[in-house]
Amino acid sequence: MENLRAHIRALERPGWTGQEKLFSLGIPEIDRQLSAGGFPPAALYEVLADQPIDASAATGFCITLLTALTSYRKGRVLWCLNDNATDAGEIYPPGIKQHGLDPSLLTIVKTTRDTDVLWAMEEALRSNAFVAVLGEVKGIPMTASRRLQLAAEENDALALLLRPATQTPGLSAAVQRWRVKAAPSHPRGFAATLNEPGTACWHTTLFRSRGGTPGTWLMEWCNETNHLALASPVCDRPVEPHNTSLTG
Amino acid sequence: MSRITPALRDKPFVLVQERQARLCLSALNNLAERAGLAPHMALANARAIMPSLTIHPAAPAADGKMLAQLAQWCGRYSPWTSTGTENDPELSLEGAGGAGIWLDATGCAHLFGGEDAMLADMVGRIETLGFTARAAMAETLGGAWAVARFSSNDAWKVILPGETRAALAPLAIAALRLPPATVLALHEVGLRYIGDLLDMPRGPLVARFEKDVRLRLDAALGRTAEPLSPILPKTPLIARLAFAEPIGHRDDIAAATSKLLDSLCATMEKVGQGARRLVLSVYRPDGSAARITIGTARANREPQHLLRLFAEHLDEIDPEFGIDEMTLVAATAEPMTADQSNLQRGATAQSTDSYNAVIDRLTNRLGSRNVRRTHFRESHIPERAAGFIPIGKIHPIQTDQRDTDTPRPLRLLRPAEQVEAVAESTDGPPVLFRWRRVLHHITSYEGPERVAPEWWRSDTENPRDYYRVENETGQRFWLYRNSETSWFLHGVFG
Repeated sequence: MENLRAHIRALERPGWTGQEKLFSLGIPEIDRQLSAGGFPPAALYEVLADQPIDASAATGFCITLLTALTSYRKGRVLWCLNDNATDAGEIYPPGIKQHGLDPSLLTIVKTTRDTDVLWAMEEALRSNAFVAVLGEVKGIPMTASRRLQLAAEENDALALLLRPATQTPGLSAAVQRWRVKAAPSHPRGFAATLNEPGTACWHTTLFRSRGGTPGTWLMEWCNETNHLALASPVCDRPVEPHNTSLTG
Repeated sequence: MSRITPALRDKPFVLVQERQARLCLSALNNLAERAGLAPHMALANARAIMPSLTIHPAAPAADGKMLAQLAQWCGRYSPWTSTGTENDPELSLEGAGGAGIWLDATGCAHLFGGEDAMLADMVGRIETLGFTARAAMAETLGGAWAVARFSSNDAWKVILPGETRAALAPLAIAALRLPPATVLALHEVGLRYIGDLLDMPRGPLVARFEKDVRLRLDAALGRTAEPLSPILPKTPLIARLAFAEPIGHRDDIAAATSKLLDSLCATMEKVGQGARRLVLSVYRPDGSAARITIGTARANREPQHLLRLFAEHLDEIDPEFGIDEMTLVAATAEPMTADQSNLQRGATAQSTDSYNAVIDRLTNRLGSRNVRRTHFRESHIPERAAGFIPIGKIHPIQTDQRDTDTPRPLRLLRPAEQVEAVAESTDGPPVLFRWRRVLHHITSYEGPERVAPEWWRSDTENPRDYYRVENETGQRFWLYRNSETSWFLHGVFG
């Protein structure tokens, strides 16, 4: 079976050597469900907000992915802002820094049209100047996502689509499609006694994963170590059961 | 005027303009001039001399516009053209000899096969546009001006270096660009030709006619410099391509652009320059022109890269009935050293190159304001402390990234949006708020964090108390209250 898979991949991607370095969010439970055993760095990902208000949570998840990528492969990141898509203000460098991503790696493109974003993303991917390219888009046709996926594979860069909440996400060539929703945080220690908000907590659904199994996880951001962890089961919110019927 | 109505060509015809409460002739055609009419003559006198005169009101504004358009058209001959009105108001349309266009043709003539051929081409083309033109080329501005207007009947004339003095001597004194009053005064003392002035002792001349005469004379002879254009590189960075048949197809235009770029980049390499701004002009047979300007983040002379930048904009060119000529000018160029051999250039240099290349492409399509980098400033006010500025811009005030201990949102609303909120007390934390029509109940909060205004700024506002709050579904917001107890949402946490 493994041989067959490798054979198909070699047919799909002539330049592929089979020795691809994967990156990880630091959560083995998720890596185990992915086909390659980790996140491929040259592929198209899609992150959707669950509700309009979750645009920031989706942004946070994107930054987590970028942080994980750039921590093992340092390089520039292009971020295409699109007010029409997210409508939740522009990203704020100090906040990004606190999430672990170095803001000086960022190059920002400000547009108001999806077509400009997709054009800029493809140009950037094909330029080889960036390790990751993120675009905020409202919707994306199947062909455009296929183009981005190919451009990402050929140029060995990560393409990331950040999309607002939508009932109809449509078809996409992305290798992974995530839906992110903010979840109530679990303050600990001092913060709990003072009734202060804890660290970021996201309810994430991997609703399509090429060659892997979809799943749902409750993740918690850890400020001290700058990475994600599954929300600990000692809290009275257990990890929700995997829902395998949600295929994209 | 006779360009639009060809019938007027064969009739005596004048344009009139009101001057000092009477109608005067401002321009006239050859037939009228032969009948003894002259500019500035009163219309009544002119009518008395020639009752059959055709009269039209003058339209100086339209004339000026036409002249400017023609000057732009002349860009096919030289990158530097001017109607001359802006540096010398005396020489405006009303001045002696009428309108003119200046061209700095240094180093351009070889593109046309010599000075004579260039002027012949120029006069011929302008005549097909329906104008009557005279051209002269000389080593000084004043010399060319005088010869073009006062010399014999040749439509064009080239005065070779060193021959200016001889060429000017037989011309009337008015050819020195002097005000009419000075010309009259010189006539009164019997000086009619420039030759009369050339050998005169300078002292008495200056004493009698002030500096004006001497200045103009020196300028015409090249004894003093008369700056025409500001700074022009010694080798003008220009390439030109003329077509036997007008072209109109996009692919043809792209191919021509590529050819122009090859030639210009070769020139730039020779003189060690790289382009920061390039202007591609296309000229149509009817005398109209269109241009595309592109900019680069740093000096560049890579034809492939520059062609890609132009390719984005080639569709903006409307060829109409065809394009018969194209020029490409490096409007802004910077010294650029030759590429070092690959020995020293590691992967970083290569990635910098490709980065600059992609930034150029993004900027040229989306606008330089829209391609940005992060920017930190020494400030407590959140919206001022960090943001994005255009990549090419160097900001005077810049600090390293500041670490704030208190959490900052991932997305900042610029400007902050006012919300309806209910607080425990006038200076207590918020309990609930409504943002974009949705009501949020606050389950936990952290704060307040006092952000004081910066007293050294004039637009000082109120101090703000920031709260980080979380609602029952887990969204975290950054709210603040100003001293007027109005609440604002400033950002959303991830």
